[in-house]
Amino acid sequence: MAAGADSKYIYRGKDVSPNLEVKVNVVDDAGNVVDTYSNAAKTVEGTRKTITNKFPDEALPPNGKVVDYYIENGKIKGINGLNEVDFVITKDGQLIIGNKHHYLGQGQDVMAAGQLKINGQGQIKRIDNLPGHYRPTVQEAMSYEDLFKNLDLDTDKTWLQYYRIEADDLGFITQDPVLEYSKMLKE
Amino acid sequence: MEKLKKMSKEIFKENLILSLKELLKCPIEDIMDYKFMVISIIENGKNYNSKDDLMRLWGFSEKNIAGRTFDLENIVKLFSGLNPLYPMWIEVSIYDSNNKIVQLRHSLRFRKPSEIQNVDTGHPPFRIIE
Repeated sequence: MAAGADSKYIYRGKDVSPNLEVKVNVVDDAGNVVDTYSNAAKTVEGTRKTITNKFPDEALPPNGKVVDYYIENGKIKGINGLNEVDFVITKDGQLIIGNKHHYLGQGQDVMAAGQLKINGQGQIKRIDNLPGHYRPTVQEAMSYEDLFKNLDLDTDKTWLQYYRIEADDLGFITQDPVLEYSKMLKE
Repeated sequence: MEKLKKMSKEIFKENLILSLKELLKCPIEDIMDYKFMVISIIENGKNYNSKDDLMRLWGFSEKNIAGRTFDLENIVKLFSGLNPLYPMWIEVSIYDSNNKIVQLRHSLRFRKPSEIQNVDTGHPPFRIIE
């Protein structure tokens, strides 16, 4: 796989870049730090809550698939023209893309989950928060912008589109998903 | 095979009413009295994407639809969660004529208009089962 000097190789979501440190504090509902993840070097520090898998006991889907990729100059490369993929960002800050969130997260809680729309050059055009197993709230999705920037991805002119799905006390969906937050990121 | 070019919440509702007119053979005022029960079908060997998962796990979860009936407005709302993506097909039949309940058996594959089936019925994605 060819890549330029600025490239960062990622194999099955495993970040081997020496240039980036992501340090993440995982906090509980009371705001206490319960765990810390870090991969050393240039520091981007923050406090994050994990997004729980709401159906952890469901069998992993047989058509789940991880797509290998690498990042070159902030673009996602090596994905053979795929323009829409599911993604999760794991608790140790790795971006995993492919098909089926439950499979990508291996049933575990994650830092982010949604879908990416990617153009032919590997530029992320849209990030949303619509995975069924995790169903991140709009508030939870507000951390995505920083998480993606910490991954050295170019998010200039990327649209963030976050939806709200309301359910009543019994869990009945009470209305359609509503596009609650829409913003184009700029450098 | 003819392809559907456009789908929206309004078109979906209009097509549901058209299919009910055909099934029930009654005036629209009477159609409004009917309730709907929903049966979601997982089709073997078909591919489901994460948007399908979203609808299966939330709007069409067993908890959300089992033993429940919906009025016309709420059934349209339930199916329109990913507008303009709608089930590839929906079979419409009478479940209980005395209590005015219509059954909707539907695909859990939510797709764009060009992939929606039953265009030849004149009210896709609905097909009457008598």
